[in-house]
Amino acid sequence: MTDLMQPKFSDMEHTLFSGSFFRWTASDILTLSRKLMKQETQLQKNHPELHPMKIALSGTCNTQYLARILRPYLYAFGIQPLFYEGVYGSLMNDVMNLESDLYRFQPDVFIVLRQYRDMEVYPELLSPAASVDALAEQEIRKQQALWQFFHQHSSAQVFLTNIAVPNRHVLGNLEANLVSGRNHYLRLLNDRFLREKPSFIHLIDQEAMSADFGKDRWFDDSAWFISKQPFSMEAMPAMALSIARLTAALAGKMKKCLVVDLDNTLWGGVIGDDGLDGINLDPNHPIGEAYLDFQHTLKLYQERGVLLAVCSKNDATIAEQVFQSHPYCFLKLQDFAAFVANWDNKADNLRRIAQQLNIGLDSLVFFDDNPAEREIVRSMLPEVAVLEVPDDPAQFSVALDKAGCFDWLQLSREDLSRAQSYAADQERIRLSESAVDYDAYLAALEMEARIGRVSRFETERFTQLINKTNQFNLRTVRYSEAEMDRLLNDEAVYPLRAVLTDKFSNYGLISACILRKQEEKRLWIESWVMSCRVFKRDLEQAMLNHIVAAARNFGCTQILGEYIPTAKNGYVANLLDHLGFDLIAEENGIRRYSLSVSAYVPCETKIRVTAETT
Amino acid sequence: METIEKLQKILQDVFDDETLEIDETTSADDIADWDSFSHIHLCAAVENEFGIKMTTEQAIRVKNIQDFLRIIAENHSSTL
Repeated sequence: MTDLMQPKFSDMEHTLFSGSFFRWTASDILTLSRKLMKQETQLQKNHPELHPMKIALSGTCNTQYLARILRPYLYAFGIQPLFYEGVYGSLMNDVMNLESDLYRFQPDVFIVLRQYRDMEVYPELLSPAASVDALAEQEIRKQQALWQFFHQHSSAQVFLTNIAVPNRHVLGNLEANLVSGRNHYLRLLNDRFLREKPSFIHLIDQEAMSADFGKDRWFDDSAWFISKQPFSMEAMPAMALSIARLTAALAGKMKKCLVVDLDNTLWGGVIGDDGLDGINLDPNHPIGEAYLDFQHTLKLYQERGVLLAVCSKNDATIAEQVFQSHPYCFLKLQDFAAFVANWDNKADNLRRIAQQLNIGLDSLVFFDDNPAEREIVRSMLPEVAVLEVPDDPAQFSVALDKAGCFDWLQLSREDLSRAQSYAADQERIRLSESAVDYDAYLAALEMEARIGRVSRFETERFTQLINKTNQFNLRTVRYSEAEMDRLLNDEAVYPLRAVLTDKFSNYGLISACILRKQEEKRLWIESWVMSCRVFKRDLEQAMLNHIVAAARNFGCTQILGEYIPTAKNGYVANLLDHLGFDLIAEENGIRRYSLSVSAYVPCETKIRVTAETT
Repeated sequence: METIEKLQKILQDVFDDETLEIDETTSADDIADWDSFSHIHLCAAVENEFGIKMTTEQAIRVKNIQDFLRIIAENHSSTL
C-alpha cells in the first residue's frame, strides 16, 4: 500500500487492506468474499503489487467454505490467490494420480485439512505402550509415503493441519490415564508426525488453535453431518487467518522487529514524571508483576530471533536509566537492537529505526499503550503492523502472542543469533566514529570471509536467504525447496555462498549466488542476494573476484548479469555498473550486463578471503 | 426492525442483491442462487443475527421464509 493509492481506495479495498474484517463472523466474511469475487479483476488491476500465488486446498472434508473465507484474508496479506479446490473426498486421488487436476494446476502451496475422523484404526484398549507406539509408527509411515510421493512430483510447499483432539472422551477421565485411549493416540500421532516431518511440510497447529478457541465451539457435528465441514463455521476465520499468515511468510512477507513504547507499556507510570522510585515494576504488586511478565515475554521473543526496539517520547538519558539502574527492570539496554527516545513524532522515529536496522518499514510491529500514537502510526505508516493493546497490562503478553505477527515458517541458527549481532552493531558504530576514514574502519573490523560452494548442511539457510532477501537481490527469484534441490544437483549450476566474520560477530552465511553455465562460454548470474547486515563491507567485490575465478574454471569468457527492479531492491540498481560490468540491453527497467573475464582486474578489499573449491 | 425485515437484509447480503424483496412465501425456488452452498451460508447468517442455533433437522428442512420465521419464533420462545 502506498500513500498515493489511498485516496482512490474503494470501500472494498479499505476493508480488505486494513484487515478490519478479521473479527467479523464467518457469514459476514462469506458475503464479503462473494462481493470480492465480483470485483476481483478490477482489484488485481489496481494492485499490481499483489503477490500472485497458486493455492490448492484439499482434505477429507468439504473445503469450499474455508476457501471462500480464506480469499479476503489472503488479499489482506498482499497475496493474490488462484485457487484449486479438491472435490469432497478427492484427496487420495488428487495426490496418487499423476494425471489429476492437482498436478496440472502446479500449486505453490497445497493446504490440506486433516481431522480425527480420518483415522480408521485405533489401538485396542489396554494395549501396552509398545504396541500403541508400533501402530502409530505404521500410520505415520503411511502418511510419510504419501507426502514423499507428492513431493517427488510437485514443488509445492505443503501446509498440513495437525489433528485437533476432539471434545469426545468415551473413556472419560481415563483418556488421560490410558496410553491405549483414543485421545492419547491422536496426540501421539501429532507428536510422531512432527518428529519425522520433512522440511517441505509445514504443520498448521489446529490442535492449539482449537484448544484456544474452545473445543466445544470448534467442533460442530451437525455441520459435519449436513455439509461435511471439518469444524464449525464460526471457527473458519481463525483457521483462515492462520493460513493466510503462513502463506504470506512463504511469499517473504515477514515481520522481524517489535517496536515497543516505554511508559505504561514496559512499566507502570511515567518515568519522566514519577522517577525511578515512582514507576511500578514491583514484583510484589499485581500491576508491577504484570509489566515484569510482559518484559519476560519480550525477552522470549528476542531469544527466538525477533529484534526489539524502543520508540518512546522521553528524554533518552532518563529512559535509559530505568534499564541501567532500576533494581527490578528485567530487560537491559543491550536487549534492544535500536533505542529511540526523543520528542519527535513516532512515525519519523519508526522510519529511523527501520533505517538504523536496515530493514523495511513493513518488517516492523508496533506495540504502544497509547491509542492516539497507534492511530497516528496507522494512518502515516500503513505498512507497519500496529497491534491493538489491551487496557490491562496483565493481558499484554497474550495479546502479543495472539496477534501472531511473527508466524515464520522456519527458524534458523542465524535467526537466533541475530539479536546479539545487532548488539555488536552498536559497538561497530562506536568503532566507525573513532576511525579516521571508511577504509581504516573496514580494516579495523578484521573481516574474514569464506567464499565457495554451499555445503549440504547449509542449503536450508541458503534457500531461506534467497527467498526472504528483498534489498540486495538482483532478480528477486524465489525457489521452493524442491526447485532448490534440483538446482543443487545440476552440474551446470554453481551455488555460491559467502560466510563472514569480523572482530565483533560471526554473521554466518550472509550472501548467496546462483551461477549457471550457459552456451557460448557464458556464465549467468541467475540470482545474487546479500543480507543487509553486511552492506558496505566490499563483500560484493570479494565475491566477484571468486565469481570470475569460477568462470575461468568453467571455461567461460563472459559473465552475464541482470537487474530486475522491484519496490525494494533499489539498493542494487547500479551494483553491476559499480562492479565494472557493461550495460548491454535495457527494456522496461530490466537491465542486462556483461563482464569480460579476460579483461577483469581483481578488486582490492579489506576482507581476508579463504577461497574454497569451486 | 421486524423479523421479516431483518431476514430480507440477510438475504440481500447473502445473495449480494440489494433489490431483493421477500415475503413469507418466498422460497428457495424463487431465488436462483439459493443452492446447497448458499443454504449453509444463509443458515449461519440467520443463526448469528438472531442468536440461535438450529437443529440438524431444522437446518436441512428449512426451504422458505415462513420456515425461518417459525424456527426463530420457536427458538426465542424456548429461551425466553
